[in-house]
Amino acid sequence: MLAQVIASGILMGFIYALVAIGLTLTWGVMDIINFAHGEFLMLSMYSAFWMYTLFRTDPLLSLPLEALLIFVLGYVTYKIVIKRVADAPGLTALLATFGLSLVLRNLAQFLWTPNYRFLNQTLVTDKKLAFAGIVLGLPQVVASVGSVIMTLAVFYFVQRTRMGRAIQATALDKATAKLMGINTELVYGVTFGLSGACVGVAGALMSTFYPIHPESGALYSLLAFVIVALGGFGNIKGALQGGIIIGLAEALGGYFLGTQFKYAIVFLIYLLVIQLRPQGLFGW
Amino acid sequence: MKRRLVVILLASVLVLSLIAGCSGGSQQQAAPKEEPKPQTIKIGAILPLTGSAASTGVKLKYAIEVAQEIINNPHPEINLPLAKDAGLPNLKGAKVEFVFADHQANPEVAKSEAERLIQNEKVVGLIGCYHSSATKPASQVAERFQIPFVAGSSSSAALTERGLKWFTRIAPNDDMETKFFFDYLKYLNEKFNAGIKTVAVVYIDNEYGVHAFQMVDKWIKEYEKDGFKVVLDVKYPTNVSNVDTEVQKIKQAKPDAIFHASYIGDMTQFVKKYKELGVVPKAVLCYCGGFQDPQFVVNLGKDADYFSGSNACTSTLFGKMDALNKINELYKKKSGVDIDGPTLEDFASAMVIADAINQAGSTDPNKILDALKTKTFDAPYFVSGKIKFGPTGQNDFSASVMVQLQNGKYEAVWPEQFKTADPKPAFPKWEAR
Amino acid sequence: MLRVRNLKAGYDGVPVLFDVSFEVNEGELVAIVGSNGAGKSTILRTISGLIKPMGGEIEFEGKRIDGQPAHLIVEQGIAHVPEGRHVFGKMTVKDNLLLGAHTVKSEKEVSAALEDVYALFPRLKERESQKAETLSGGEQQMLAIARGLMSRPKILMVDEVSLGLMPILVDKVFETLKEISKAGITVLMVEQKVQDALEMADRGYVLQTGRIVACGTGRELLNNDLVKRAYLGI
Repeated sequence: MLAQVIASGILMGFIYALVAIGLTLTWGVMDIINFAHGEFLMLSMYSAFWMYTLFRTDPLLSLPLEALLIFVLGYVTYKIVIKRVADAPGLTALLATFGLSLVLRNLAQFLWTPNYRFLNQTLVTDKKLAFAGIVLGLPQVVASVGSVIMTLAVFYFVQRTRMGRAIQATALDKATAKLMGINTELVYGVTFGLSGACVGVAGALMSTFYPIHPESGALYSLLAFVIVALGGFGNIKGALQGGIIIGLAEALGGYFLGTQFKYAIVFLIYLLVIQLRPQGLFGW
Repeated sequence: MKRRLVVILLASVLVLSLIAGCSGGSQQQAAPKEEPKPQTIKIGAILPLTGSAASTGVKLKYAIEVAQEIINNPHPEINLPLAKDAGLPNLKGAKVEFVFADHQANPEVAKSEAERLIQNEKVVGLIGCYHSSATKPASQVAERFQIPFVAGSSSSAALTERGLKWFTRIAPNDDMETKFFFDYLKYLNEKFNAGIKTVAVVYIDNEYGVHAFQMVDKWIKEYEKDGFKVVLDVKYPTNVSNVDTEVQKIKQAKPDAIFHASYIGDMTQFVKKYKELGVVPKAVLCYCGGFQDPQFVVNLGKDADYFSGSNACTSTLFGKMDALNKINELYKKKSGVDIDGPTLEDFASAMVIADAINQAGSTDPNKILDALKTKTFDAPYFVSGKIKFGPTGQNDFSASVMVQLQNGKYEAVWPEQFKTADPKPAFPKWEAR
Repeated sequence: MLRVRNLKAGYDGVPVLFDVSFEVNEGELVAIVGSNGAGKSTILRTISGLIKPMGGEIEFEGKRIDGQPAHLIVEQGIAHVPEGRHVFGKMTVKDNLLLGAHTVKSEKEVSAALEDVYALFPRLKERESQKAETLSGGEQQMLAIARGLMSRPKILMVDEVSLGLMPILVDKVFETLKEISKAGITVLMVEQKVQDALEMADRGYVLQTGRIVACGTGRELLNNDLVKRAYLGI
């Protein structure tokens, strides 16, 4: 059973990591804490749900659409919400995204009712992988693998492409980045969009097994905050490692110490880390 | 001189108004409200309209709106008290208005909403709140302001153990339900040789879940002689991203029966995980919560079959009970689904408080409370037919039936005199469904 | 190529430059010298677009560029090597150089520029994969200049390259700038080391508390009385 617990923990960890990577991008590059991050995730899940319900499209196939949709949402949010408050005192940006999160959550409930929706007949529903006494649901395995692929894609993009380097430079030294000919406003928009694309993919993957509901994003977003602090702001590799740690902590802690403490353990780890190593375990 | 005169005048006006207006304070008797018969009587309804139980809260609101409709307009075709005439006959046809408030599944908000409804909206009674954890503080506020509170579906037995004077509750409490569960398992063992011995309790970490588990802890002592044993209890957080660990522990323990205290979102996740990990118990009995929500069948399809729970009503009884059927027709128009147990209990709370006001012939809270505590109320929509509150405020007539989902329908399976189908005392392997 | 007229600029509404006019012609190495706080860096920052001028005009190749956003100005062929070097410390030497070529569209051209720059600064090639912050002060200065060259600029503006470097390294850096100028690239340098700067420059300007107080060829300025008294200690 221990192997089963660890396996489930790691699978969830990869998914948590992808959500966290979206958050660490905006936090690390722009120093903006996007409180509406969980709601972006929720909207992606709803998109997958409606594509499935109205057009019979499997979430794994509509995934690129969700990624694009939330990318655009992120970009637009930057242009309309964040940019306006860029010069106001720091707290204003926080409040702006917090307000956005409330608006999105209530809008979702208003438009689509608070009923819990489940996708029951996707390509991966009810299938499982069983080996060596371990049973893994196919939806979670696919979601996990998908998350890893997206994580690697984002990492490659930031490290190896022109725009990726521009993002890094802007994060390090905005003024000098401008001297390189980098349009820093565009970089910020793209970063926010990329952050959205991450949860766009995560949402599509999770819709195959997680209840879809206006509050669906809240817990994952909270865990993302913990993972970002653990992994270091702006550190993608750190977010991946942090995600796995949290996934394992939740699974093992819950199994051995008591399921009601699952999240208490996660937050305890968070408190310890920020006390002892504020820049995160792998911080830069 | 003139200025001093003005000041003295203002001061005396102030002092006089303070003396005249002073009527608050929990030390005194509530001042009788002797207005000339009001046109509209306001009753507060505090429900989870947003947050994780919002899907249920919205349905409860529809049920209460149906009650309002039946009371305020003539419905001679429904055999219910207050249905025949428009408004409350003993108060010259005064209409009732249910004022809704959202507690967001947050006890603090439930408390402040109760205060707001009493002080600002001047309600003469309160109903609600579905979540026992919200009903608790809201009813304490009602007690402080001496306003009658009728809880519909909140099941924690602790609510009627507080020695409150102004609190009444319609649903059976989890103390009664737990005994009901054990008696049902005994019945399955005796009549069907089900061989159920080990029990696991899976419950959400809040007032509802924790208290349900405490009741199991209490009753198991009585039922140990019948061979029952609690082998595992799993408490899980109110918001979960997955139930992997929980179900892994349950699988490890291999219980014959599982008692579940869960809401619709978590319950659905559990069933899916049971299927994935191949957990096959003999019986799953659910306290009043997610299982009773019709969304359960919508979410799970045939995977929902074989689960059981106590319910104040089931759709298979609509054919046998006319009043219930007519109420359901009105409700279904609003909600799109059949009425279920908890929703019916909150409907009942709305009808009962209006009935009590009517029988008291007054909006004086003391008289309303008197009516609530002494009268027996007609409730032809319940199998018991009546509602009567005992000394602790608990409804003595909480006859529920044990229902089991068979082919997507909630069949009444026990007690035998109410049954619409035979119980199926074992789960098949998941692949075999 | 570059013409600045009556430039007025400063920070937070407080002007530091009052009425600055100068020009740089193609192929020249022009030096603007002055002491600390004279406003030298402000001139370059206004040209490259990091700050907006309060008054005056800046013309590049006949077109007005004052008020444009920095990234567009850079695209037009102006490279600014900022005061204090400002290399991207957490990124590798190679990535820093690639960033310098951000505005270069063709991959082939970027590779060619990289080769040229490595030829001029072999030490950078050795340290290609190291993080820029691990380089010594002198090497970082080379990196900053190399990075500026990566976009094949029409004019390279360098701000106080000698700052914080040991004398041997200062000489080396100035040597490099002379080579760059000889290779045909127009250079505008801003410097505290008046003597060295005027010796290498084709033409120069002297900036004192926000105004140009003298101008001429390098030789002329070295013989200028004001310059000799104020800056050369003669």
